[in-house]
Formats: sequence, structure tokens, C-alpha cells
Amino acid sequence: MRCSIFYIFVDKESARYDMTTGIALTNIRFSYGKNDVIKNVDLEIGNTEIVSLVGPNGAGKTTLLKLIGGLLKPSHGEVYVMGQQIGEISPRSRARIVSTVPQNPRLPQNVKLSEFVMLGRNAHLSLTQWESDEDIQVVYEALDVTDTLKIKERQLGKISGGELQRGMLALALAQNSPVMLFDEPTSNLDLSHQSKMMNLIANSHESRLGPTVIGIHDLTLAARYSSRMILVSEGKVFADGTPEEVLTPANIKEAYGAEVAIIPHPEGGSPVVLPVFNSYPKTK
Amino acid sequence: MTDQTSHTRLNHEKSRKFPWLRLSVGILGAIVCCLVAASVGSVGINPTSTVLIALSRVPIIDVSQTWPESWDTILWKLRFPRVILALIVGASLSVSGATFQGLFRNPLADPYLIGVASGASLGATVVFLTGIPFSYGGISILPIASFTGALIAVSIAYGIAVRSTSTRLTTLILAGVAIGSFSTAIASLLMLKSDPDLRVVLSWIMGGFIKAQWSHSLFLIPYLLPGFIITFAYSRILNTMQLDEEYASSLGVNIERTKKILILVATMMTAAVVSFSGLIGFVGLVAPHVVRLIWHSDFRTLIPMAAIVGGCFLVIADLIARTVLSPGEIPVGIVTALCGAPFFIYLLIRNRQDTT
Repeated sequence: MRCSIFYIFVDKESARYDMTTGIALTNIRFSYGKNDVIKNVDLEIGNTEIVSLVGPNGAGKTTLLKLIGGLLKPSHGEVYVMGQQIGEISPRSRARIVSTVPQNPRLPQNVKLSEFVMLGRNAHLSLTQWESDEDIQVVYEALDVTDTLKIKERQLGKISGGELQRGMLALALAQNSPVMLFDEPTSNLDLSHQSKMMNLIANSHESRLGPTVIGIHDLTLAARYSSRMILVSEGKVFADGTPEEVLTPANIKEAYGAEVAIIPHPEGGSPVVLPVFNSYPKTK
Repeated sequence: MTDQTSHTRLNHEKSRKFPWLRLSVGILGAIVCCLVAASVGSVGINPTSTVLIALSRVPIIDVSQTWPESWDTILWKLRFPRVILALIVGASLSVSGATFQGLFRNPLADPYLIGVASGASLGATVVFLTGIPFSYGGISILPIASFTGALIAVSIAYGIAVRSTSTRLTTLILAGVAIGSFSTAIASLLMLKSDPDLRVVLSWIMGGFIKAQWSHSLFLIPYLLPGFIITFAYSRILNTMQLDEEYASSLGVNIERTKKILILVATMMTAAVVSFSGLIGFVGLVAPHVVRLIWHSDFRTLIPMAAIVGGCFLVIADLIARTVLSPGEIPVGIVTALCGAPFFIYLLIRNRQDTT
């Protein structure tokens, strides 16, 4: 427990984490008031995995991501990320281990994109430190990689949803943490921006040692970009495995209550989920 | 590519450098503002003499006396202490206003609006009317009482806002207004219940610098200087706090600690100045916004520049207050309200246009 007044000005704590471990959740429970949102989840994610977290609305995807990101503390059980109990360490140490790209955060409209991305460096600066040339370089590269360099002087209120989503990815990249979590990174995007976004996430995963966890609704997109899928339903892990193992009509019927057909993608063969319109009269 | 790289870097470097130029221009402007304000009054003193009189007390500089002795007395005994006190009070109210605006992510937060100042004034009124000695063992009780009142007021307002299910910020303002009225009501009740001479407390409540002395400014500095330094140190964190609370937390901001420290510091600054100058509204609201309109919303520029703009604003407001009905005076709070209230309405209208 640190509460020394000196920490207001001095924070020499360096990032200490174990690069050989990934994410480990043991017997996690979490509730908002009397609602149990997460019920006894055990999960291990290796440090090179790119994992999709899927499931119906209200299944607990966002809560699970926040628990892994240390933004919520479990009411029972332990969450270890890179060997650290993530809910118990200081926000700054935590931010150097995990970055979270939230879903639809409320953002100040009049801040320039470059200034916004610079906020990702916060965890690397002590209270009285200002951004150095090195920080500027990191931000510049993050903007470059996410193809937002051209719009860096624009205000957040004046850029499109796709650009904003890429800006938030740039901020997470500038944060330079081994673990990256995404909550619905494609939900507000059109078709071309969806695949652009997912490509950027996949590229960032390749260039980094550490797990990536993506909470996502689009099962087909999730299957195409992740090596492992975790299907969450009613606060529990319902199915866990490769996209082919998880995306079966039976699993989806059980978790979502929807009839689907699954076919292999013409390019690459990853599963494609198609709704079956039972009530619709068949014409041919 | 290299061209673009250097261009990018230049732009960033511009925005993160310490605002030396703006700051020096601002300080120069503040000095000019103070000298002009000191020159004007029932006895007009020409600005050149004011400068010379000011310089004559600077140790190394030797200025031969070419002005009547009375001018020296007027400036050094009456006007300089008054102008400097107004400057310090304006700067403090503006810095705490900017801090509250940043912390609560609400452009309309102001120490006066969220009940801090009214709480402070209630605390001071209690001391005035219950016969508690103003100082005890060399320590002045007045600022401590103000601080206690202010802290209770802001804690209640904040506590209500945190527990509300609707937007916290609206609740904060509304709770602040309610607590402000409540404190004012209790203060009025206390005044009616007690029979001693009410003129002291009444003139104090109206707000102003009529009785300004050098000792007031000297007394305030130990409260205000640490406040300025801590707030400025936190200005980069305040930039991060403009995001969602959870987002800022995920970027490594210790939200609860930052809030506690900054609320304490801003409340302390407000309470300290309220205990000397009474209730002066709208300064903390107007100055940060003027800075945002002219310069930048980066808190590293905002905090120091708001201090300068707010200080000058109150110096000019006080100048108007003591000259417009000369030889009489009007409370400076009336002047700031006359300028501030329309500005507040303008901000409300502009905010509505932004959200639609």
C-alpha cells in the first residue's frame, strides 16, 4: 500500500513484468450490485496469442476485458497479466503492461489528434516530466503506422469514426505495452474500414511480444483474424478453441438462440457465419 | 518524407515547450495593467510618475524625487497593496476555476458556482459572528474556518454527483448551486440572530478590496504559492483527465488520488482568498475561457495564463468598482457579475450548439 506524499512528485517505479507469461484468470467472479456478470471464469491466454472474445449482448465481454485490463477488480478470484496481479498494482505500472482501446469513450472534441495520441505516453512520464523527443518520435511512428499522420492536426470532433478508431489504436501503440485489449474495434465502421482496422490490429500483434484480446460481435471477422476464439455466454466461457471448433451451428444456437449455417470462406477457408431466416418464405 | 518528418516534429515540439513567450508577454501585460490601475483614482497620478514611484523603492535603482510626497503615500499605502491583492485574488480564483473545470470536465465549473466559495463564506461568517477570536496563538482562524466550510460544501456537492445515476456533471453544478444557496441562507440567518454590529460582516460578504493592506497579500502567499505549483505540476495529468475517467485510468492516471489532491488544493486557494476578499463571482469562470479562446486548451498553457488573465481582470474590475461612482465605491462582485453573467450565458448557448 503506497500512500506516501512523496509519490506525488517522485515515481521511479519501472515496469516490472514477466514476458514469458500471458494472461491467467483463476476462478473469477464479478458482480454489479446483485447482478452476477461473470460467474467462475478460468482462462489462460499465452503471450503470443491473438484471441477473439465473442458472445451475445450482455454476455460479459466488456466486463471480462475490463477485468483483464485491471479497470475492474474481481469480487472473487485473481487476474494475472504478465505475472502481475493487475488489479492490485498502481495505475501507472498497469498502463505499462496493458493498453485498452475502449468502445465509444467520451472524448474532448477540441483536442488535436496528435495531442490525443500523445496522452498514450502518460504512463512513461513522471508527474513533472514533459514529453521528450523520444516520446514525440514514438507518437509519430504510431500515427504513421495507423495511417493517421495526414490528419494529426485535426480536432477529434472533426474526424470520421474510422479515423477516430485508428487514432485510438495509435494511442494504444504509443502506450507501448505488451498486452493490448480491444472492445468492439469495428462496431462503428463500414466494410472497408472494418478490414483495415482488423489488419492494423493483426499487424500490431505481429510486431509485439504479448497477447491481443479483441471483444467483437462480428463472428466472421473474428474467425478470420484470430487464432483462438472464446465464446462467452451468461458470464461463463461457453466454448474455447480454434474458430472452427467454436463456431458450430450447435454452439451458436445454444449461446445466441439463433439458427445459423457455417460455410468455409472462399479465400483462406475460415468459417463464415450466415444467419438462417427460418420465418422467411423460401422463393427458390 | 524527411521534410514531412521534420515538419511533424516541429509542430509537436511547439505544443509541448514551456510557454515562455506567452508567459513573459502576459506578465508584462499584468505589470502594465497594475501600473495603469494604480495611476487612476480620485487623485490622478500620471503613469510616468507611477512608474518612477514604483521604481524608487527598488533598492538598486536611484530615482530623484520629482513628485509630491502625498503621491508616494497614496500609491504605497493605498493603491499598490490594493492592486496587488486584487491581482493575487483574481489569479487564485482563476487557477482554481481552471482546475475545477478540468477535474469535473465541465466548462461551467467555477469555485463560486459549485458552492465552494459560499461554503467558505459561511465558515468565515461563523467566525465573525460567534465571537471566536480571529487569531489563536498567532495563527489566523479565518482562513481555516473558510477552508473547512469550503471543503464541506465541495464534498457534499461531489458526493451527491458521484451517487447520481444521470450525468454527474450536471448534478455537480446543480448540487453546488443548492449548497451555495443553503450556505448563504444559513449565513443570513446567523446574521439576523446575532445583534452585534453587522457592518463588518456585511461589507466583507459584498466582497472587495477597500481595506486592502500589504499584510493581506503577504498572508495569502503561503497558501497560494504551493497551490499554484501543485496545480501546474498536475497540468499534464489534467490534460489526460479530459478523457473518460476509465480511459484516463487505463492510461495510468491515478484518478482518485489526482482528484483528492486537486480538489483539496483548489479549495484551499479559493477559501484563502475568500477569507480576505469576500465573495467575488465569475472570475474563475471567465479567465480560463478567455485563455481557451485566445491560446490553447492545453492545461500547461491554461493554468499560468488563466492566472495572469484572471489577475488582470480583477484589477480592472476593481478599478471600475472604485472609480465609476467616485468618490463612492461599488462592490467589485457587482462588476465581475455584470461582465461574467452574460459571458456565462454565451458559453451556455455555444455549448448547446456544439452538442447538436
